[in-house]
Amino acid sequence: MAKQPAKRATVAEPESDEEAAADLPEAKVVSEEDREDPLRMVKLGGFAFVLIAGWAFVIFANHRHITAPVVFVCLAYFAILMTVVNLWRTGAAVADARTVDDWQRPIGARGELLKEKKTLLKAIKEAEFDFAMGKLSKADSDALIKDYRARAIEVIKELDRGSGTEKSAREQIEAEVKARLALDAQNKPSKRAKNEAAKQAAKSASAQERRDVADAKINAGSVDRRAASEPEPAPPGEVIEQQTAEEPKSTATGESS
Amino acid sequence: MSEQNVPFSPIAVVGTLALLAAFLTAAWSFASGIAGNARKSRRLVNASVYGLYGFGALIGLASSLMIYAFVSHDFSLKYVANASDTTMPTIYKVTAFWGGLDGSLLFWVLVLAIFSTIAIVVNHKRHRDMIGYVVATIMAVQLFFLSLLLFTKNPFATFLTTPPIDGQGLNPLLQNYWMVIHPPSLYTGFVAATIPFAFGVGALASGRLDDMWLGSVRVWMLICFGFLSLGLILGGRWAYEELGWGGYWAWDPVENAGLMPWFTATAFLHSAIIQEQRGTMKTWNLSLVIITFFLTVFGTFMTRSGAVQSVHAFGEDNVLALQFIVFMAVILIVSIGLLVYRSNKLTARTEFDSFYSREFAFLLNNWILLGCAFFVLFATMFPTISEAINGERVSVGPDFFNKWMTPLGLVLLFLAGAAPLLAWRKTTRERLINQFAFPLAAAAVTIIVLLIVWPQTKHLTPMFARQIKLPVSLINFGLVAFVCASIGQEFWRGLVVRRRQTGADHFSSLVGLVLAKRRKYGGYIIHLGVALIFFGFAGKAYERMYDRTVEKPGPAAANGTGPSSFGIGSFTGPFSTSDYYFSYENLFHTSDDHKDAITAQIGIYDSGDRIGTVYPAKWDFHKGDGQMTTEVAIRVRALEDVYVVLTGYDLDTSLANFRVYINPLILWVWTGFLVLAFGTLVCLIPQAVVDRMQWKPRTRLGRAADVGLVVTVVLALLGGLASQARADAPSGAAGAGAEHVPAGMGMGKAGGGYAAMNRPANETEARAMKEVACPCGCARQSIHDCDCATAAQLRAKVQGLLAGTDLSNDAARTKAYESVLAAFTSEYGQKVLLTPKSDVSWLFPSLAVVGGLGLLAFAGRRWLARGNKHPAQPVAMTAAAQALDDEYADKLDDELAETD
Repeated sequence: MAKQPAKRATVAEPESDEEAAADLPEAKVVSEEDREDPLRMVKLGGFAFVLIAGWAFVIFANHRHITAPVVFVCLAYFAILMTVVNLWRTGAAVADARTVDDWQRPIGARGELLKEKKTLLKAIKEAEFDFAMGKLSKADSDALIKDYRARAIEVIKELDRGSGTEKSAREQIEAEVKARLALDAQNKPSKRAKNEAAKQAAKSASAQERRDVADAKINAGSVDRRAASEPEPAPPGEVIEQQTAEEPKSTATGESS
Repeated sequence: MSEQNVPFSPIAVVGTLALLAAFLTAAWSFASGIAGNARKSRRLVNASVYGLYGFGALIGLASSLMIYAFVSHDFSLKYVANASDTTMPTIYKVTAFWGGLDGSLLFWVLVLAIFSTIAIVVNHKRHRDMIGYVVATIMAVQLFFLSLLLFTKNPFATFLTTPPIDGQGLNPLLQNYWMVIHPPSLYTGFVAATIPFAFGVGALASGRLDDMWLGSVRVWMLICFGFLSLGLILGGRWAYEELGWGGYWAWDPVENAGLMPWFTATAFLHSAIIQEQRGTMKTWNLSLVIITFFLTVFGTFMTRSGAVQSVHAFGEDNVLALQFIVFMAVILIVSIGLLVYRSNKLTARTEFDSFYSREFAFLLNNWILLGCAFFVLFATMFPTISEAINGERVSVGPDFFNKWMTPLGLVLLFLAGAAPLLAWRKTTRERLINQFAFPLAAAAVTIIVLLIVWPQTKHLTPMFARQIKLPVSLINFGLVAFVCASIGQEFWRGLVVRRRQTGADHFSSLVGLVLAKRRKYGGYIIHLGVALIFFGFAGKAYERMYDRTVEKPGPAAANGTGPSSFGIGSFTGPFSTSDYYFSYENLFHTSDDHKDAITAQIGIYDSGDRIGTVYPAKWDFHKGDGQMTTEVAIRVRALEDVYVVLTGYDLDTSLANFRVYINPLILWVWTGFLVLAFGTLVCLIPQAVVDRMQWKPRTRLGRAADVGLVVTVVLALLGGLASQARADAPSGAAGAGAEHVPAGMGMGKAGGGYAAMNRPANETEARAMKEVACPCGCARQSIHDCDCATAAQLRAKVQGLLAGTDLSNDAARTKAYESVLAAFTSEYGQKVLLTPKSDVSWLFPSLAVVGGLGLLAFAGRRWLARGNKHPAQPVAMTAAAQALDDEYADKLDDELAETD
């Protein structure tokens, strides 16, 4: 886990995917000083007062005639005030001990994923639109959309992973097994498949016999146990069961880990 | 010198101090930006950002003081005294701020300060991990220009002795409505290229080279493109109205300085789309950003250093030239160094699926645009290059540019119509036929109709070399029809699909379509504008020029004929035949504090009907060093402009010389620009604005109001443009005074007048006269077009050289033509010719074009091979994984349903 600094700028979570992916700085990095400055309005008011007072002075000094020179004198006065304010802020920024060195990107990885998702969604829509307009053939359109969809799904998965809505490992395994069993139940095994299954079962059985013999020889201390205990490759569905069954045996024979 | 003679100007003191303070602030901001980013110190980065804001305020102060000095007539400042006087209208006093070299540099700094403030305010949170480098880059550029201001061209410099009571006034040529807005828009375009460059350097320096950088840069480059387009078209409009030679573009070096970055900015806007779609061409895009910025600085260098000669240039300054050269070298070294340093992050392999794809069309478009930029650069600098190599400066006239740029432009026009019809990745043969059928048919029909109705379009024009001739006008019109049909088809088919998807009415669907896909459809609108501009360009080949002299004014008959009238013969223009008569009705001499004006009143008749009254004039500014300005009078018509110039007069006898141009289709150049500008604005509409708009179909009244508003705005802009294109009628109809016209202003017998003297009698004379440059310092016109006395004398010389020569066949005519040019070059040097004769002038561009196309073909085949070698592999998934993915697929479908 990344080391957390003592103070962190609060990252306001975007309210929706669209908000996070929009061009304007929607993921507002609300720094401490912005949030906690109660004098902000007072300062703005003071600035406005000084500005208007200065302008009023200039205009009244010119007998209330607003001529071209008066306009530019007023602009120059405004520029002077802005200079003072910003040079002050320059110095204050350097001296501000409250500033946090939050160098992390404001949007962060999630924001980039959201942007990528938006790009892919638009690309899918564009491909559909191009097909509807007759620019793309059906085959090209389908291939393009399929590619974009695959990528978009990966991005959504990644987003779910990041937001914690992804299923736990146990839940994922259970879902996979369930789906697999459902699929198996749907598919009627063909005769050939049945024969294959029988052959595999026979092979497994003979392998098990060989292992028993090897165990016996090991116990007798005269056979290379490792060569004899190599199981035959088995289909994935069965691997789980076999592994689950083998572990206690390994433990029981006292193999060193 | 006693102390009281040394003038003291508080404005000069405060202004110089402001520039000094700005320089220090920029230096601080530059250093803290780099240090902050490199050391990941938020404090230093924030300080550099505020420093940038403070810098902007200081420059605002200096600029306000400078303009105050102009409007308050503080002639103790040399710059104010040189560029202003007490009699100038206030608006021109304000615009004089950027009228001279010193002020133009300060104006550049001001505009960049404003733009950079906006860019940083909008982007400093989104790009906070590289904003320090961005600020530092901008400040580096500002430091360079400020150093010019402080140490070389200080606009606040004062006289050391008693200042003048009044100033010299602004150059009369600059006292024009279009000159008020042309320089700011062009400078804005130049300056806008700095922002993408700064972000590019920031991305390279920080290593953040993902697409987020691209999104920000693309918007600023679009702004750069928009303002450069505006600046170029306004410059053309100014030249059309103010210079009096009937044209709007002469490939002048200053014009070219704005055109070169326009090409590369346009190229970037297209290739950025490829990067967004395919994730490739990162190095290419970064290079384009760098080249665009470099060309803006190079253009500034050209116009301020004396490297090129132009009536628009500021003059020669070797010190300034050296400073610019050093700055450009630094730009190149730093940029290329960063590109090489980050090359490992930029190595996305470019690959294509097919030549018939939008990617390849964009790539071809990029190469041609880049080629155009470098050709214009080469041709503009060719006089300087030739002088450096063999000590002799040659001239490069419009014909040389047109021979190359016309065919390249036509290819670009074709791509503007073809690319929208192609799909991303691959377009099958069947789809190609389906997409291209209608536009090609429109082009074919247009060509056939023109051949029947307007046979002049068959005229052959030399391309690349004199030996290669093509019916350029016909091809141009055909391609315009192709592009218009292509864009129209895109809109129509998109509208149909949109209606099917949303169930909305036509108007709502159209608005929804454009707003949902505004980058695409805004781009299509821009392409349409470009097509209209090319439509206007096509008319240039059919312009006619007539010189006439009328001895005295008088009334005309109802159909325009009379002793004071003149005709120009029947003129067959685009789809119409005009029979123009011009009645010379009066000659006024008016005077005010500012100038003397000699104005003629001309009634224009077409086929017996009076179509308008115009007032061509000559203005003699009191402070203008005796230089008179030409105030042309233009009668704008849909298919042609009638352009009348008063080329000479005699106030005693009221004799007047006129030159009349008939300029077909020129209105469409300005109209095309308006469409282009509208398309640019559509592309720039922010997402936030789109999100707030209602999507449900609105009431009929609302829709009608929207349409009415748009039409009103467009017509108002168009009307504003058209109304400005007319010389003002004199305020009071004064009788002819007793003032004689100065020598050389067109005095002479009936039929005389320098413009009308020694006109070419045959094609060989005309060809030779068009090749010889007039040395009078006009806008690089040939002796055929210039209306001065020198041009008339040189025309006589041409006629003398050709007198008695055999002109019976092509070979004889060519021999005679070559002998005339040889005689002129032996007397005046190569610079007298408008088309350079050296082998390099055609060899280099030829090699570049052939080589470039060859390289593109080779690279294209390689990228195509890469694309075919890595087809998308179907992902082998287990059934369990498939089930899980089905769940996500449903999620994806939900999100797609909400996406527009």
